Amino acid sequence: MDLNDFYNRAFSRNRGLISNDEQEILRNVRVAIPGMGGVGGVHAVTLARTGIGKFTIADFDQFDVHNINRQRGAMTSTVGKDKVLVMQGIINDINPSSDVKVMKEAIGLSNVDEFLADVDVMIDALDVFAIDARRVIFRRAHELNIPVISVGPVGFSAVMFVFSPDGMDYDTFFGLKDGMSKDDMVLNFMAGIAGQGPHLKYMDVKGVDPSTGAAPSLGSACQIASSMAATEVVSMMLNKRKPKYVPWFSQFDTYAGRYKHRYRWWGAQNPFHQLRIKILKKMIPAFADK
Amino acid sequence: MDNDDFYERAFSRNRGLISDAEQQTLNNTRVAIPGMGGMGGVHAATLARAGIGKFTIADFDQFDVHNINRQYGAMNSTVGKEKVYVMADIILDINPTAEVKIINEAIGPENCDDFLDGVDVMLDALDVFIIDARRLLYKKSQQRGIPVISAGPLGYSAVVNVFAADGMSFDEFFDLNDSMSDKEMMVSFFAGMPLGPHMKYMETNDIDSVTGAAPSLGLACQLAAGMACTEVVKYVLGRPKTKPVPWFRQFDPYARYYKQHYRWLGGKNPLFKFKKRLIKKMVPRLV
Repeated sequence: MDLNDFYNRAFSRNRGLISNDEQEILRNVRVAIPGMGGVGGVHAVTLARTGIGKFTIADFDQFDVHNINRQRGAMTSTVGKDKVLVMQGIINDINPSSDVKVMKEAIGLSNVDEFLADVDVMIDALDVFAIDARRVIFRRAHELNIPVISVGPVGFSAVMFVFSPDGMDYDTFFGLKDGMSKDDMVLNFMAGIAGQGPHLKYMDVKGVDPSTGAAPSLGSACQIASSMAATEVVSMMLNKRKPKYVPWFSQFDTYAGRYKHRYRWWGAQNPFHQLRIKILKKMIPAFADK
Repeated sequence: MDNDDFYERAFSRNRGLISDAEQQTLNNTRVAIPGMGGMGGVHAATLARAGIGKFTIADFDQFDVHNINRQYGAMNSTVGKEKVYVMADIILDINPTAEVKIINEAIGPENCDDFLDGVDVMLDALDVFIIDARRLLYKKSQQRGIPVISAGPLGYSAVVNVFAADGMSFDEFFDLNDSMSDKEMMVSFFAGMPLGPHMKYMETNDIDSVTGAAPSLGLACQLAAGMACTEVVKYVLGRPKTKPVPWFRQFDPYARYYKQHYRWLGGKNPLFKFKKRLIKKMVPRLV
């Protein structure tokens, strides 16, 4: 079986939802995913199984035992191995004709252009505390007209933000500015993602600590997040339905049985943003004195 | 690192949502999953990563290339291999302390008692066109006091039903009985799926119960598994109860739609026969 036959057979069951022509478009789409950890690995596999043909993936880290509860590539047999190389192997095993560009390094000002070269859409999968890298990548993607989908696990739920190249940018939506302390930026960012919602009722966030990188997160929520991200990628690349860009955001909480899709007026300038920061400061001791 | 140390470290990031004591409960829970295809494989891996410690899995089939768009264990390197063995290896690679009971055959009257032995909760992951084994497993589970969670992809969406051990039965919810033909049962089972937003964008003309062809997306299977795993955790840990059938829920990220419905009287609902008629029209090759 040659690679084209393999591709056609492997993704044949998408018919009825994705046509032959549409499948061919997806095959030529390049998705960039910075971070191959909790959500990044699941994103990559979900998109590979949808038939996305080109990936640019980056991560400097190796798998550790405590990644196993949620990270797609984390297994007993991969502990100590480079995340990007493990995930490249998995993507190629799903679709041997896929083209995977691998960057085994942290993304910053020096390599962000190489990372975003020829990319059609980016899915943010950086660690929640990696604020500096996130700002650099989001800003450059905005300049290069690349839409960015950011979706991650919050408790049993997933929260999603989609950034348009000509809409509100990351810094404005989350209230970040040059000169802010790192803790302050993390706090603003977390308030934007998790400062409200049904998860606050059942989630114990006392253990969240930006200095150790510890934060509760579940594999089941990472999977829900990835299904939402892949749906956005498919509908965006195939022009199937109009994306709702920030300040629209959505949260699906399967534990609470709640879904909301809301418009946050003025992004971080919304008066409730400061209230959300206050709530988080109260709930998370590591932020209390910031 | 001994087994206890490994388990504790591997699932340490569940803390804040699942306590130490609750994690031990999950470790001692046995989940049965009939079918290691589209839904079953993702279920197994998702639950293994939640720290569920005991599995009973069954499948008679081998991976094929056309499984790759959605099935967890389907890779270029596993084509032709037995689904149960591939998935057992994956579960054990995630958690080497897990206990996996493998049944490499179809489930039927001879082996269903063995399959349900010691099981705390079952996740239905049988092929959508299998009716007899499904009815048998639901009936046996209810007799043994085992709840069943069924979650499946419908277009971009996922539908989740929880069958409580003391609640409405599978046969009642889908209006099935022994005197029906295979065709009638299939129509009834399909009519029991929600008439949700997927009907606007999904092409159902080519669904064929003879070839087993039906459109299904990996992303929807992932969504269904994330929702089903949450139900397992909630049930096993005694968290706030999800309403069992005739309540059911559907989340569609494409349509941006979530709804919890109540189907009054289950399959005896007066609208059910209209739904059957609609299904016959929408899916002409159902039998």
